[in-house]
Amino acid sequence: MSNCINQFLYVPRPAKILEIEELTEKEKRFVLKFDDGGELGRGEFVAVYAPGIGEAPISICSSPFSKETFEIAVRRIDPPEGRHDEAYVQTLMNVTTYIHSKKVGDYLDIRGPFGREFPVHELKGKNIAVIVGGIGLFPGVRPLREIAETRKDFKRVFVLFGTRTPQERYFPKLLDEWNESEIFEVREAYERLANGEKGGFVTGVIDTIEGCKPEDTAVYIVGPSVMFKPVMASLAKYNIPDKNIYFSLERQMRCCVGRCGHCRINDSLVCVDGPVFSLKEIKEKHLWEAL
Amino acid sequence: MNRTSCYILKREHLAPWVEKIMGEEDVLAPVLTGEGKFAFEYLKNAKDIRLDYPTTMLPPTQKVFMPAGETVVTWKKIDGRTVFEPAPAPKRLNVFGIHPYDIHALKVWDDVMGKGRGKLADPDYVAKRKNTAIIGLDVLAPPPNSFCESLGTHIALDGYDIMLTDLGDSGYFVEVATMKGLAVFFRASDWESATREDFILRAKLRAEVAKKYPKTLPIPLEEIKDFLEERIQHPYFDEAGKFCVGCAKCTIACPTCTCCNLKEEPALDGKSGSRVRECDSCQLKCFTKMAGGANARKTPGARIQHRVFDKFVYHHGMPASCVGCGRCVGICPANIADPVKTLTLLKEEVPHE
Repeated sequence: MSNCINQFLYVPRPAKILEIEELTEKEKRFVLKFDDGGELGRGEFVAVYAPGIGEAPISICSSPFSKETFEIAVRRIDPPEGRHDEAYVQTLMNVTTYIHSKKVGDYLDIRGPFGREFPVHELKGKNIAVIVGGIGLFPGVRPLREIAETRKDFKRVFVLFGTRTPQERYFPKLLDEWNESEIFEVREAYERLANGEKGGFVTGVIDTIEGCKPEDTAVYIVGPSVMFKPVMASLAKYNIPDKNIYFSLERQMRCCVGRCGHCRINDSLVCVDGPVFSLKEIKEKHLWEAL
Repeated sequence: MNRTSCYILKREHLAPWVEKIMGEEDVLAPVLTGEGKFAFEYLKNAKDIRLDYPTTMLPPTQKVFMPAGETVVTWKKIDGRTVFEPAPAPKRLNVFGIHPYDIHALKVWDDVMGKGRGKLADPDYVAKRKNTAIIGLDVLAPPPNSFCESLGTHIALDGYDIMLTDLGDSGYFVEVATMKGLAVFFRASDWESATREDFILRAKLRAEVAKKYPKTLPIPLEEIKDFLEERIQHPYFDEAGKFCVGCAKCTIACPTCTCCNLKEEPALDGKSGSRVRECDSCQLKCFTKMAGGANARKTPGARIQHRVFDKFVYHHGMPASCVGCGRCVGICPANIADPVKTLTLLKEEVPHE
């Protein structure tokens, strides 16, 4: 945990934008470096503050081994269809638009990092399947990069990625590189194929993990909450123990330091106790609301 | 080391004592407001202090530790960069006449805000707590709707710097519990040492008031957690949800509700501004709404269930977060906030399988 959090819980640190990559029309990746030269440290997400506009929790997508710089990827949230009377969604719209308006050399104000990551270091010697839905690739990339750098500690590693169209692969270079070098077994599913035909969901490629010993396999499910139940149903026949199934949860967050209460599910705070919870924890703490 | 020392302060010496403190520091105390209700206000005149108040409509905890629009951080734009300034150091404050249940509520605040539920300590809160003297006041006439006795919050044995007890004709019994309290009390111009009789009288008054509470919880405190966990799917919550108007008054009136929001207050020039904290409520529909439009607690029933469980199942450094003050009972326009009524109804109906 970064020491500056305890000192000034709510004071952001300015970070310079070194590089911007347009992933798609709506998503951009930013490479950042703290102005004070400090490292980011361990955590799952940061809070990006737009002075006078608001703040948004944003996933970190760089490897934890990257000390000098770190990366975040941001989707610009557009006004939803129909009514949008909710102040929080309005804030997210404004903040993500603000972040997207920034250019190389500008500054972003960052608080964090916050949250508990997918515990890669505790799962050495296991098969790992990262099941990703859509924009869940942003937080999903961080543990995958960590695994890639210590690849020999793990058995088979799967990247099972479901997204809407082949254009929305967000990190095409990274996915292709992993696939071609065969360090990970990458399987992708598109809801709509390039030629406009109907494709499949991520649940259709889960059978790739066939043949892995259940107790030697860990699963990390990261994506929109609507995919949790179908993915769990598809996983059921593999009998993977609850403690090896991890979910990354999403909640409204305002303070990111366990004060504001917005992200609470029962007695757990998604911002400090999570956002990554194992199915065992979800069952023990009765966090059924999460799934 | 025993720092406790007890004194008797005559009635007529109360106002001069408060006035002396007011000359140097801020004093928050119960006063009678225009509408015939009592409220904790920053004193302007020492004679306004009313230590005979039944209870206040709003709790003193939020007023002290989460005042609306409190600055958390300020910022200024300088050459394209944002320069931040943390919150200024808190001023010294004396809270007068805070009842035992509100003193117990502060323990929940210490856990949630102070210790960050054992995770990230909040230096701003800790500094504020250190600079605030708690001058308690024993309840001798239980507030309407209160059920403190069954929660054990009718008497506070710690958590205060000074505890006052109204002994009637002989004046106020003053128990000084901390060095901070001693510094406050020694500004009084005249006092006597408490005698054995005064101690006996205080103990007698405290024992008598314990019997006077108008309501009691239908289930023993130590069984409530299991009792409620068995009834997590109980239809009562959705039934109550039909009447809930979502006004969030029950959480605003609650001394242990700490949920908050960070808001922007930019200056008109757009080059500076501040982030301010204000209270928020889990009873509002938008409280858990997410970016994609999904909402974790969509129905009023789910929100009511969350509130009831937060007060009795999820512990924040106390046996129960509910301290039994009964403020939510009187303030709820739909008459569904009463914890005693809720538990009674849950007990009567068969749990839903």
